[in-house]
Amino acid sequence: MDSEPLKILIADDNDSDRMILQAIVRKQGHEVVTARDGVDAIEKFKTTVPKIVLMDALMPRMDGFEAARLIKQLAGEELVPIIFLTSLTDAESLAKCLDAGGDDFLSKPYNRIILQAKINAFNRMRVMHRTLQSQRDQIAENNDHLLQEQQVAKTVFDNVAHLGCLNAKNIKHLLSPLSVFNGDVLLACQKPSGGMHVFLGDFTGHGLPAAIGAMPIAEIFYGMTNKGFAMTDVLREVNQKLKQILPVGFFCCACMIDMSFARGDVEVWIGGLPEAVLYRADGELIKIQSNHLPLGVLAANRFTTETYKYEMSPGDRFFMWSDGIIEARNVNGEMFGEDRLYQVYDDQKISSKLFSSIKQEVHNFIGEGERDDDLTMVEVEMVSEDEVGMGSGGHLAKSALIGPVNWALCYELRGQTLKDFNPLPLLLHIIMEVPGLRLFSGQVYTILAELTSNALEHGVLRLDSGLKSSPEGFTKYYALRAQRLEQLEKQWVRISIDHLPEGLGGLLSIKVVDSGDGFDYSNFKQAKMNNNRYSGRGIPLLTTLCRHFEYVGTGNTVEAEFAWQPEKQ
Amino acid sequence: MSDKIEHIDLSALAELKEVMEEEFDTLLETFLDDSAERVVQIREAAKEGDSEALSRAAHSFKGSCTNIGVPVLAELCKDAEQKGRKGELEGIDDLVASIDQAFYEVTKLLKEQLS
Repeated sequence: MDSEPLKILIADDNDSDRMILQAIVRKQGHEVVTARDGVDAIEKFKTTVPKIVLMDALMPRMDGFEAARLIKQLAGEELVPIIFLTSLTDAESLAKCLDAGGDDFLSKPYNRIILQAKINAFNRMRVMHRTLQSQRDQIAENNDHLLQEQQVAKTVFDNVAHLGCLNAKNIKHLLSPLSVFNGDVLLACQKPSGGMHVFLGDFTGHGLPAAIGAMPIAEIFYGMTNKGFAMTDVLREVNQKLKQILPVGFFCCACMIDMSFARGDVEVWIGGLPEAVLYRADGELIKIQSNHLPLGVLAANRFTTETYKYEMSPGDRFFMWSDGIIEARNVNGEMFGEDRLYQVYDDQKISSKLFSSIKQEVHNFIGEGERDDDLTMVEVEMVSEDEVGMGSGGHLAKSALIGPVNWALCYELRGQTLKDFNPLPLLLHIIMEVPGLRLFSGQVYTILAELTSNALEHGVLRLDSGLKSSPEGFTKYYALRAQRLEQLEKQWVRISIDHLPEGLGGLLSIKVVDSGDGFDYSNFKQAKMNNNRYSGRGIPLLTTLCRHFEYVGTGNTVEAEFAWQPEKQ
Repeated sequence: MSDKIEHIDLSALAELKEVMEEEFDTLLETFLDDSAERVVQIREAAKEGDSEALSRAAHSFKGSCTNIGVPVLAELCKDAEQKGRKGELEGIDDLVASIDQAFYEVTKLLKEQLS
């Protein structure tokens, strides 16, 4: 870099001095442009764009000070070193050179070695300056780009997460607007049954990697909660998704609760977050410690969903937080810590002010300390069912009204289809589109499974369930089943399903008819009339599940009615 | 003679010769032409009692004298520059005469250096 030839402007009104300097600089391999005074120097600077300027201080027309000022102006952000040529020696004159924008002096007589050293040094500085500026520009550009990307990501995330009910009357929360880039996620959603799911997550890492994981969590959380899935189903799905998409070492500490206002209880799953708190109106404080690994760590088959369950009375409060609260630091680098946190519960006797007291204490503690934007905290209060204040509004109205509630279908399976096709997943899928019915998927599955297998095995295949009572009979039963399935040709099973809205829930009617000869169901009728249990055909269970259950015709037709209502006492 | 050595710095001139190469003669001629002009400027400024013009011309002359390596003349120019700057033109005629004399000596000696 030192040997790189440079264009150097020499401005000096003294001919002999200029000749000497020009000769020296040329000998060092640089290209020289000369000027005889300040005005000339400005002109030459504009037309030739030299890298370094050697400038006499005293010149006619325009002196070196003025010329230096103008050149610095013209150069803008570019560093053009100006070295003053001077036989001035008093401090005041030298200071004037620097004030005018000069970078150094060279005194007469010119010393070749010193001049060369200065040119090299200033060239290094010039190159460094240029590198610095281009890096600065690059950084500024990257930063703009990053902010723009974050804005987009935030918009997308907000669109995904906005469905929530964080603004419900019984929820208080603290969450930075850019929390998603701190890895903090706070989601709340009312369930079709009227309860509420609240999820607080804290991802490892910051920035986009943390935000990327938050998107599917929000999507799954809202999607599944709206469809009536249980909390443990939501957690299992989130865990599996995160495990699948996050790189090793990335995971999400989380606490999720399912609060039922109707039953007055809360179910808690907590993995990796600081202990949560259940604070009762009477002052009892229950700490709930993490007993799971964070989400996204364990493979689906090793993930477990044991939960804690607590009864809650109106006025009881549930608190969750990320470690940002406990690890908030003051100016001395001390952490807020759990002791100070629990002290607030001792000091603040009015439980409705606890949330703001904790917030205030943390902020007071941080003081002038570094304020991270990752203070995330939520309080969910138990209220009576009619106080939730959004039973008929928000997402619930949307999800409850949208979707099929009034419909009927008939599905007939014939011949070979009966042998190798299981209609249950398909039918269940259709039935579960009824908003809110998913909560009863277990019962619906049981009814549908029993009725269709009865129709196939006893109706169409004419297998005797009595066979299954002995081990040998059991084997024979299945051998016969396989054999007769092979011979199926014109036989059929017809499943008719009908759903009608009924109050906030509905009535699901299932009718299954088969091509078989039917059976004598008088025993069943008799037992039913005498309030006795009728055994066989898995029927006892069905009669308890269904509002109405009956065989008709020759016994090849069975009718069942399942009436359901959203979560009740 | 020691007098002559003080008027021109031979080692400085040798160094200049090395730097200037074939332009060395041109440099000396340029210096002598410019200097003749400076001497006139100094003399006239002194005569008119223009201390600022005197100081400026002497300063500039001093600089080129230093570069070429003519220490006696450079020293005299420095004296004249200071008198001019202070506005004390007393005894300036004697100083101008000394500059004239020294310039005469320098011219003679430098011309000997021309090839």
